[in-house]
Amino acid sequence: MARLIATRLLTMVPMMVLVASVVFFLIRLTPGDPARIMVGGQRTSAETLANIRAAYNLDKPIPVQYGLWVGDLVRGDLGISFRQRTDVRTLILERLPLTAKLAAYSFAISLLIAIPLGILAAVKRNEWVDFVASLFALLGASSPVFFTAILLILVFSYRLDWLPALGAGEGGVDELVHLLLPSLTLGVSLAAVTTRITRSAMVEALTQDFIETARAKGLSARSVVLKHAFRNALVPVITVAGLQFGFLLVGAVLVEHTFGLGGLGSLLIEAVQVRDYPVVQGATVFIAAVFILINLAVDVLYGIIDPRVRLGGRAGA
Amino acid sequence: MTALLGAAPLLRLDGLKIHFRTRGGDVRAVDGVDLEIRPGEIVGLVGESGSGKSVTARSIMRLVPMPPGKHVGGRILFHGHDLLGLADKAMQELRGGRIAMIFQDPMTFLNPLYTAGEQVAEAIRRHQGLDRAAARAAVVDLFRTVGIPNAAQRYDAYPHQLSGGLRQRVMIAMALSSRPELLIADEPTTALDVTIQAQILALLKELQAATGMGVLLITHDLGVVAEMCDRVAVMYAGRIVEQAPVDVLFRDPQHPYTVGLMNAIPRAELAGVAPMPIEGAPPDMTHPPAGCRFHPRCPYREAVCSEDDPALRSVGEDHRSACHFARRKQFVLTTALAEIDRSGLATAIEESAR
Amino acid sequence: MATTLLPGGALVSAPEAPSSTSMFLWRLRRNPKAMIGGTIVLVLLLLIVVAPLLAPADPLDGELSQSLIGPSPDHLLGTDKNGRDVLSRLLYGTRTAVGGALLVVFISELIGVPLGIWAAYKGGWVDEAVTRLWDMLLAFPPLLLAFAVVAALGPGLEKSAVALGILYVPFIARVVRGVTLVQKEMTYTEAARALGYRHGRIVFRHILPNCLSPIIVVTSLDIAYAMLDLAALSFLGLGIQPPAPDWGAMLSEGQLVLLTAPHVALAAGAAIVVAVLGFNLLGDGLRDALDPRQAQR
Repeated sequence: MARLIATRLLTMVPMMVLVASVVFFLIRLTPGDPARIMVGGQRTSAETLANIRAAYNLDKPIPVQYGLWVGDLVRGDLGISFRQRTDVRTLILERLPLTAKLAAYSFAISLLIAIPLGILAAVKRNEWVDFVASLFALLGASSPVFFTAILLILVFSYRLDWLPALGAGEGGVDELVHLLLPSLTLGVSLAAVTTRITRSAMVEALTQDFIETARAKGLSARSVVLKHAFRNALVPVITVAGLQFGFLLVGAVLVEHTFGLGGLGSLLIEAVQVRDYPVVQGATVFIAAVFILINLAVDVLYGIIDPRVRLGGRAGA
Repeated sequence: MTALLGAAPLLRLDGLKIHFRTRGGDVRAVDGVDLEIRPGEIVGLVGESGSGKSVTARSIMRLVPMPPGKHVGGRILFHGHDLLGLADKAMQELRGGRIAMIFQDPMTFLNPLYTAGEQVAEAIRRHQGLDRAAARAAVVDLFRTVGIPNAAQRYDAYPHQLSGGLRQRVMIAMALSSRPELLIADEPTTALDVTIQAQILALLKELQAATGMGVLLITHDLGVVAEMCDRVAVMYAGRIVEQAPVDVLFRDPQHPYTVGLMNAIPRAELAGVAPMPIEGAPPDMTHPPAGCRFHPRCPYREAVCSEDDPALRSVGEDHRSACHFARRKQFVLTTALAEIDRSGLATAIEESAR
Repeated sequence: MATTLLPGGALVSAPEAPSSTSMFLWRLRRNPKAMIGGTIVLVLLLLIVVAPLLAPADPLDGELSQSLIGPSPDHLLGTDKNGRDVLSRLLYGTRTAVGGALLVVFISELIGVPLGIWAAYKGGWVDEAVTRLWDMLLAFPPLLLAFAVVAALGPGLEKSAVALGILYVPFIARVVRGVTLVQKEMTYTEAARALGYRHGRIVFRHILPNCLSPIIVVTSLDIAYAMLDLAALSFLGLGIQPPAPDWGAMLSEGQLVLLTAPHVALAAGAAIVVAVLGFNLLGDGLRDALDPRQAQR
């Protein structure tokens, strides 16, 4: 198990290097003078521009800049924002808690919807529950998360007046109430795909031979489904739920923008809009790192669920 | 022979019909099966694949998913009570309790995510209400009974860490855990190596003798039947076509299909006698042939066979056949199984039973 | 379809043996997903061409006095805050939504199909390196990297489409590589090689035709994804710029006036959902029809 984690941690390194490099060169090799962007198109003296370039190492050749940037990155230094003149790491850490909460709530909501619905659809295959689940999965996968957000705002804020439509609230319960609608939005979008996978994994698991053994033992339908089938369906479900986390992070960007939440996603979008390169680079690399770590966690979970992964031995069958 | 002739049957199938709904029409998998198992008796159910053996076995346990399966007619009487009328709850009580089943492939029929011991303990806790520790002790005992070495350590082994033979022993332990009155064994050795096969069969026979349970042994291997069973039922196209005590059947088969099955056995020790496979293929069970279902493949067929469906009738003591020409024609047996040396299997069983 | 050469020299197709193609079409016609999805897709493709003929008004020109009027006989779907006809903007919006997505997928296939064939065909370290690279790319949501591209290049439909197109390459390349690997091992390809066919001929005669059906399925599903991603970019103001009629941008404008005039956002959102649903249904339906055993599940 420890070796599994160690190898996975090692494979993180090239992935991070790849993402960091892509982001860096993408931005540096495109036309446009960052120094001019920083001053926001105002007329400035050549001297000011030169000062800015020196301050941000923009006067050095690109390979040198890259080396410096990677060196900073390794030390956890993400640079200084062009616009806000603040440490990017500080900016990210400031905005992180809100996004983390949003992500956690959404993920929980999505599982609360998707897993029961997927199991039910598989058990009652081709009955109305199955049809409803398929319809939900299809519509959920086809509706952009920001449109789902708008629909929920229309219903729950404007029509029913139950929940606030904008902002993050004042902390505590107020924050929770404010995050409910955004989390529901994102949760529903995530649940669409997870429902579909849960259903197909459960259908697959329920046709396995050992299900017959479990029934032949005299177990109740409930234990057959939950104990024997569902545990076997968990591996594909977790794989997809893990992959969904990437979507969750991007979805969080869109949801924060729609609901006016000042999280990491809003930070990224604002930075993209004003071409605040250090923030774009820093936030992208940070999100990528979180994403890779989540994938690592998923791999570890496999080992916990499936003894064949944990203990080695013949796979498959 | 432990079976008492005329004893009240443990299980009786009475004209059982189980069909499957498909797009191409109803598949008549089990289409009027009559079968009896008496206490303490091992009954073999033989036939080609697709003859309906496995569906028959599963329908006794009510493991056939409905739909697509449907019960079209007949009864399944266990101690005289129709299992088909039982509530789900009561049926669950029976399954793995008084009626248990073991399956063909012990790899795929064990859940890969739980240890061998846990899976057996689950059955014990379900039916005997033991707590975790007591169930564990009971499982280890059972493992010893079924000949699993290092029983205590094997409790914590996952199926993928066990050999095929050990896995099947785990399955047997699971089935026997609640001392069933009836054990249904669906091709229990087909997926195993030959030497392991003999060991498992010997174990089953030994356990049967010790517990006095009735066994329905489903197989396509007449050699296994010859060694294991008291009585045999031969199944073809969803029906029993012949039923007799095992020595009677092998000495004096009264159905051309049974004869065909025997002639089809390749026998290495009888050089010069070529095995003769039955010509043709089993019928399409959505549209079985009219008259006797075997007539398109039968070398003895006559006009009546394609028109009149023969019923199972008595052709001797405890011997029944569904052929118009039973006792009226001489069916040619190229090798009489009763006379030949069944050395391979017999010695293997004796050795491992010792 | 089986063909026979008659003594006279005429080629005759044998109708009695159903070819795999006709079986596929038969299954396709019986598949409600494919039929509904196909209809939506056909209508969308048609709208790209005939939008000007159907649009009741100029999508860019509006009267401010007519601002934010709800649906009425004059404006079936109402007007937006600049008094422009929402229906007309929706109809023209097909061009950027569907056209943009087509461009994304076209670019991804232009690179991805040859790349997939090349990787599988070469095998060895080339295959290893290429698949590793795209596995890493696949692990990231394309939209996240697209943000970085927009930050570098600035907003715009063409730039976003090119960026997404490149980021979509692994989706198609992976599928094509899989099919090529199978075909490569197939005996007839081996035989073709033994007969001294040139690689080009093997690729065009044997490999590409077999890649066709999976490519069609992936194309349909990728178009759906691309529409969502492009809509997201323009919703964030990073895609096509105003005043061009675009569904994502309309949704963004609509959100600002959601309380007073929800019809703008609802119309734009519904358009996106229906269009994406159409391509998703078509892709699912095609896949079911191509692989009926999987569809039974």
